[in-house]
Amino acid sequence: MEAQRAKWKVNMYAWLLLLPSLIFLLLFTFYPVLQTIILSFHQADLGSPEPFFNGVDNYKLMLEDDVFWKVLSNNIWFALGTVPTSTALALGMALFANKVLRGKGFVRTAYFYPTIVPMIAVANIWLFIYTPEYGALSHVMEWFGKGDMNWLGDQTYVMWAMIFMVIWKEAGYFMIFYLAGLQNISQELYESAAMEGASSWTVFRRVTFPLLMPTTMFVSIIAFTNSFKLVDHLVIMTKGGPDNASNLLLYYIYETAFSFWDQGMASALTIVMVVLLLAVAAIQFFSLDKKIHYN
Amino acid sequence: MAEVELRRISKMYEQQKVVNEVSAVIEPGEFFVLVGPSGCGKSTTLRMIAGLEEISGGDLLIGGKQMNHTPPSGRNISMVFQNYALYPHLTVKENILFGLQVRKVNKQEQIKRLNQVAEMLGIAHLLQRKPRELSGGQRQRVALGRAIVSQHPICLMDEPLSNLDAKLRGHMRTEIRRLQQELGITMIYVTHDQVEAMTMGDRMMVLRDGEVQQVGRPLDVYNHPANLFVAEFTGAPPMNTVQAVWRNNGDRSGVELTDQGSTTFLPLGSFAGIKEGAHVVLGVRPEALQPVEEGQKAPGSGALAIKVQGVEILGSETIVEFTVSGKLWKAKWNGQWTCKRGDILHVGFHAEQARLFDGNTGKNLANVAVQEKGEIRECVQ
Ligand SMILES: Nc1ncnc2c1ncn2[C@@H]1O[C@H](COP(=O)(O)OP(=O)(O)OP(=O)(O)O)[C@@H](O)[C@H]1O
Ligand SMILES: [Mg+2]
Repeated sequence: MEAQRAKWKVNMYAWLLLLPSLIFLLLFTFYPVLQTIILSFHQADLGSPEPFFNGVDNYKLMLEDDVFWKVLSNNIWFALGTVPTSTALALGMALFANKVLRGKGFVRTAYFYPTIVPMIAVANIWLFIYTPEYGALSHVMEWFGKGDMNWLGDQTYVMWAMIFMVIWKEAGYFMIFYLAGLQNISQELYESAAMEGASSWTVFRRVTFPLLMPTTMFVSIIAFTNSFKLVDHLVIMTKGGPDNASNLLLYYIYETAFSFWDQGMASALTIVMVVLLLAVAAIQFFSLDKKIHYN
Repeated sequence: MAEVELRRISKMYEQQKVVNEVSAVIEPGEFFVLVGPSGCGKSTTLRMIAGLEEISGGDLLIGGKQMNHTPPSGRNISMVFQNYALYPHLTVKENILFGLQVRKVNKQEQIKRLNQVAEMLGIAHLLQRKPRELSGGQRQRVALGRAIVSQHPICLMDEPLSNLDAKLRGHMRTEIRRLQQELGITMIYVTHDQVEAMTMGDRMMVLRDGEVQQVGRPLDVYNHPANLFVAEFTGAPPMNTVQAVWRNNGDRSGVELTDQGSTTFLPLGSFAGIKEGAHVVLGVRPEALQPVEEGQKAPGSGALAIKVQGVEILGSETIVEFTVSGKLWKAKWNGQWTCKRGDILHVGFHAEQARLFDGNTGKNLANVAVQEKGEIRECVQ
């Protein structure tokens, strides 16, 4: 009896301490999520003065919408283009930055600097780089006689241009995680491997890489969610064009909500995107987790 | 053959010399201990032998061949690290086989050696476990296994027992020694614990600030410390020392202790080559100091009347603390003594148990004298 009361008191105390953050969480996270779910089952566009329930109509329309399928496949290609490459590049950069003897600080800063530049500024820089005829890239391409290529205006190239820029922007950020991961590996392990005469490749394959697996998983999940979350550059550079060739799911949601003013459809799209992200993260997590060694 | 020779080996870090012209010849099959206080350069010396640290000066010879610039894997050496350096993501079996796989030893041979080693160390039932699922002692065994399985004739160990509790440490001491003798490995073993050095080593080298103080068999080092530093480093509790003045008087020569104006004379017999009035340091091992019954004749060199300052009864022995000329001394007596703080006792020692050191240089005066006659070869300096 007495024990139960004491326990209740402790519980009460804990809840009280959690209360402030719970209020904010409820107000700004759970409530909007709930509202979005509800709204996705309503027609709420400029044609309907009051939102009204229309069942799964929004979802049905979405499946028939060619643009939806286009931006979804775009986004998948964008993810496939950015995630593995930026992760691998980040690992390579971290290994290098960890090894260089002179100018360690310089190398790290050089690699990390794209990260601290805001995406909007990055987009402006690259907008200039990709400008036909005057842009930096065009000057280089001129040597090959291809100075007039319109990287952002051509449906076949625009996605590559975006992927390249995002890899450049993100790899430095992921490198930081790998650098931290490398610091966690005891020097003794490398010395022990050196005593056995293991080659650098063997050491990387059998020691460094397996021990960095937790970092790799973390980075790849972040990179994957980023490939769906990061659309600032579209606003500056292409607005999703030409003909939706560079459009991504989140930007399409934004357009649906604030250009076409179809709140119901935007909500339905949001739900689809969130479910997709959760599913992929869960698959990554549960399929890889068993094979990863955690300290 | 697996003889390791250090010829005036030095290590510089920037302008600082942390190992200074260390020389030694380590015989094949010998258990050689590097011992000294923290920061004296033991690990650095060992790592230079292993090839993990560049040698700044001098020559390293293994089996008669100069090895200064040979990479670690070419030196026929295995090493056990202080934190074991087991690969945390690999099983015990994979850990032990790692080196053999790297060196592309054939599969059957690998399994044969693995089984041998596992049996020898009693870790056969642990082969499928990861290091984190092992106790400290088991990890230690795996690390040993990894060193042994390579069948290199030389093994280096850097404080391998420092992460274990006292009881396990004692156990592993004998086990490592047993393995080394069974396999006939040349062992170079680093420790800061003089007990390990005394109990395990065939020979030991005492280092201080990167300089060799003494090389010799543990008992020789214990009985004939080359200098004050070695004397105070060895033994538990270490040797008692006190400043004194030498008085020459034929057979009744001895030292004069001064304590707050009053002087005590202790006859030690003749010591060759010490000048009248020279400043010396008298050193006596705690177990050499024995209680003297009132009125009974002291054993050789007079008795000191002392006032007990503290008593530690350890069961099988008793440690009595008192001051002599302002220095805290300890005596170690067998059995359980029921004296208490403030008691007045008489203690004495045999003259041959006394050690005399130069008051300025700290060198053992007897060793200097004996060395001139060439009797004690083992003691350097
Ligand atoms: N990388 C380094 N740069 C500069 N000085 C160093 C370096 N490594 C070691 N030292 C110095 O060299 C000296 C010897 O170090 P070492 O590690 O050999 O000591 P040790 O005898 O093994 O001590 P411990 O018992 O504490 O392990 C120390 O004074 C240390 O400060
Ligand atoms: Mg050390």
